[in-house]
Amino acid sequence: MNNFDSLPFFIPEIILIFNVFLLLLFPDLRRKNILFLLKVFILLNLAIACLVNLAYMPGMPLGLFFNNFARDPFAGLFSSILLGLFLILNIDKLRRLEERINIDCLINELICLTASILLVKANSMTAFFLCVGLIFISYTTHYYVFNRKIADNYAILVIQALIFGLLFFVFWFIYGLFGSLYFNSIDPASALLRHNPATGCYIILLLTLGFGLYGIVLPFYFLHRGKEMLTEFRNSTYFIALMALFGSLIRLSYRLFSEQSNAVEVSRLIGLFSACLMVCVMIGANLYYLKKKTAANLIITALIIHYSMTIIAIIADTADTVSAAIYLMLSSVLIFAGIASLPDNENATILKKVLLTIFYLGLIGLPGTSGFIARFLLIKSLIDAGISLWIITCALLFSLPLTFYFMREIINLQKKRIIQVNTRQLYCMPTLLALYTILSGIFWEPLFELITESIVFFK
Amino acid sequence: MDNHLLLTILVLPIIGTLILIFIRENRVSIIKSVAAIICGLQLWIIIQLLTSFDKTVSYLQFAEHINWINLLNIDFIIGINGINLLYLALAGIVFFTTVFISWRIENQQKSFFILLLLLNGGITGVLIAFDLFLFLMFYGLTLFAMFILVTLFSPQSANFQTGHFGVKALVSFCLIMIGTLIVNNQNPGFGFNLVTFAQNPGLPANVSNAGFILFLIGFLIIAPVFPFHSWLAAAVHETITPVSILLLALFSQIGIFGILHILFPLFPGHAVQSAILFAILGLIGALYYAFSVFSISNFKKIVLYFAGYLNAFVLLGLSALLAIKFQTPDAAFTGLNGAIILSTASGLITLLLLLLPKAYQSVIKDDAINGNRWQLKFMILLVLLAGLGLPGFLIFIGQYLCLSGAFCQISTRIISIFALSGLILIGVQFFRIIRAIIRPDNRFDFFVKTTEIQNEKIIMPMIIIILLLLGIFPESILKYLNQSIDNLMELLTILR
Repeated sequence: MNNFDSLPFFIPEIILIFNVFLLLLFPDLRRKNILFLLKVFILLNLAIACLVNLAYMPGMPLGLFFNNFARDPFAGLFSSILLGLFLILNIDKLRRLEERINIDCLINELICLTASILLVKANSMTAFFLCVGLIFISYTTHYYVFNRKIADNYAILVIQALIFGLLFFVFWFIYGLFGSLYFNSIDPASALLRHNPATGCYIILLLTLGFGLYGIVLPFYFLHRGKEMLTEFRNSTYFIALMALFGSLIRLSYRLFSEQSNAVEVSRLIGLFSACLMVCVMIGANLYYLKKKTAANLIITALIIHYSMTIIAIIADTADTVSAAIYLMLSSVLIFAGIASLPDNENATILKKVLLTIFYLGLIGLPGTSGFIARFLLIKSLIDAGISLWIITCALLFSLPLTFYFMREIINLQKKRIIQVNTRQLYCMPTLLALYTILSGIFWEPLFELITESIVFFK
Repeated sequence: MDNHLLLTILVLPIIGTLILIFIRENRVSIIKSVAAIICGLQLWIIIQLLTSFDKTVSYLQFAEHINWINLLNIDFIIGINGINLLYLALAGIVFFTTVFISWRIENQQKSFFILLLLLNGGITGVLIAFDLFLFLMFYGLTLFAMFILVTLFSPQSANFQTGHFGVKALVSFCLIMIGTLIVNNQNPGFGFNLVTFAQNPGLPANVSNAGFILFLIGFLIIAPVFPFHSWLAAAVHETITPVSILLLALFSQIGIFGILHILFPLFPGHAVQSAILFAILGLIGALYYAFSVFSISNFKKIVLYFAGYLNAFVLLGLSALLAIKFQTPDAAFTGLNGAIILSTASGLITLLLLLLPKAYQSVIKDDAINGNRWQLKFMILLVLLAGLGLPGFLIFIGQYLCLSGAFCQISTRIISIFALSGLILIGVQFFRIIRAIIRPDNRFDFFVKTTEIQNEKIIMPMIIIILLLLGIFPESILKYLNQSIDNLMELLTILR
């Protein structure tokens, strides 16, 4: 499609940018009535954007802006997830819009959200780098505004530059192999990779390093610095960008390592390589974690381990593994978001204890929670995809220390003294997320089917 | 009404848990009453099941089959056969008595009773599930509740020991989960239905090898059989007596139950081929635990190693499967009967032995105040002799059947004779204990906090009577098992 025909499919992004302008134009509102209207208006806009995305889900896939972006069920689903995530993590900021700092923060995060939604739709390397660039700018800006430590800011900048550089290199490498800048033109991938599986492994290494820097190395950095990542997670830029990069990796890997009859052997070799790589990452995370056992470090390690497991599943590259990977990532990110959206004070109210316990149980993977079903589906799909049993066993066993220490954390939590604090409003969103954690552990079928349907068209 | 009895005993503890969550922590008497009512109701339903169970048929009874998750062919299938019913009865008795034993537990009463009911729900689910996914879910719940109970009711200084138990339990869960998934992977059309898999076990050799090893190690860890036993001493010794009872009398029997309920029907060929492995594990375990019992003076440790010894003996009973290979299935039938009876009886005898230190303290106290209390001393004597396998008690029947099953083949016969030598060491130690009770001295450490155990004077005679009656009339228990073991034997003989 050309520019003008494509425009209607970008209504959600246009709405989001409109909101950014709105917040830029009315930064100093003091009148309560107008402020209330503004809040309602922004919420309404977000809801409309989400509905429009969902409405675009069914139907034939389309290439937009001369195939630089794509409109397909996958993009529709992921955009809706990102919008939902944004709402969950920013509802508190929207509630307290009278504070100037919240407006600044929201502007930044709305830009990041827009870039992330575009990234999920990106179908060419040019579009990909435009969106990644925009995300990194918004993340860095956010970090510079809210963190005054020069060393941290410098490290964040270096890591982002590394990600950009690595991805730039691997994308040009892929371009050199397949001669196209467009993701959906990488069709003969399997035939090319069959000649030399090492090429595939090399691409995997670079891709997992590139994408993994954001999902794994960035949390590792915080872990190493002993920083409280929980406060860091409170802004949505990290999670939304993580999910968007994850979506983009799925789109790319589906094209690169498509499951074709003559490529099964190649896929298996590449799958084995990536699985070994990710098991090493999990071992590393465990070793790092053992140095300092705080709740925040536990959560970061859980993020790294879940991310590693999902990458194994994505590279295994069947509809089931990818669906399970998305389900696990969604479940984990929503639990992390729930933990991050809890009030950050030392007081242990009854509700906070209950909610934290549910979230931890979800991360452990207790039967009856979304965490259990996500892991179960992932392991099942990996076995069905023919990934080596030893690798799967290792991956599962290396996630055990984490599970064990989370159980300890739950026990420590029960021993804390309860203090009654009346902050009910703050618990609204975490309560909803805790309900999701339980309900999606029991009635998970509809969501899983929706995810599977959204990626089926890739094949 | 009959059709929903199983569903009721499964749902009751979960409802009880939810009720307890909403009761305030300081309303201790209400909390205890709710737990007692739930466990009492459950035991009453189990008695109903025992009386209305048809002993002449081999198919699943009181079964409920609901299509649950169509996407993965997961069904909600619960039901009972003779084997499940015996373990269910054991669970009912242990949970009901544990509530009364821990009536005056000192700290965190609410947490204790919530976790007790949660564990009850988990174990009941494990015992009646006939879908592997359902089994896995309840197994996970059981491990979680047990770990929290052990950690919460152990001293801070025992963090390493309780952690050890947690890690072993998690490893067991992971192995069983992977085993379940690779079995499902071979025949996705069967879903996770245990009955269908048992009737069509045509798994490729490499898959069934891997599956068998994964399930076997997973269950042996929980049993706990040598060399996977290290959590036993660590966890049981450190925690309070009611939790030790749950661990030894019930939780460790889940491992044996898993072998009978899942491992044998899924991998009949491997079960018969590796019968000698069970015998060797049984021999090593029996000798190791017997030496441990002989060399220790702490009574709680003696009991936990004795429980390990009985489980090793159960493995000897299972090794009678070797007889199938040599076309003498009757011996295997006897061995299986013995293994199941010994496993359930060892649950009850362990419960009794763990109550014994409190009874001993009463003897010492009463000796000082009122003179000689011969009734209590006689009861303690009976418990110890019943544990040793005094004829007339159920343990004797179990041990006898296990041995007569294992004695039919020369290899298992030699192994059993060596394993029996362990009984001599245990016998010597038990007679020393009897002497220490009749003429109190400081040779053995019977220390137990008085608040940890309550109502032992009522519970001990009741369980002794159960063991005695079943020991005198073993046919009453064998009748329940006949058809189910016949069914299992058919699978093992035809499909191996």
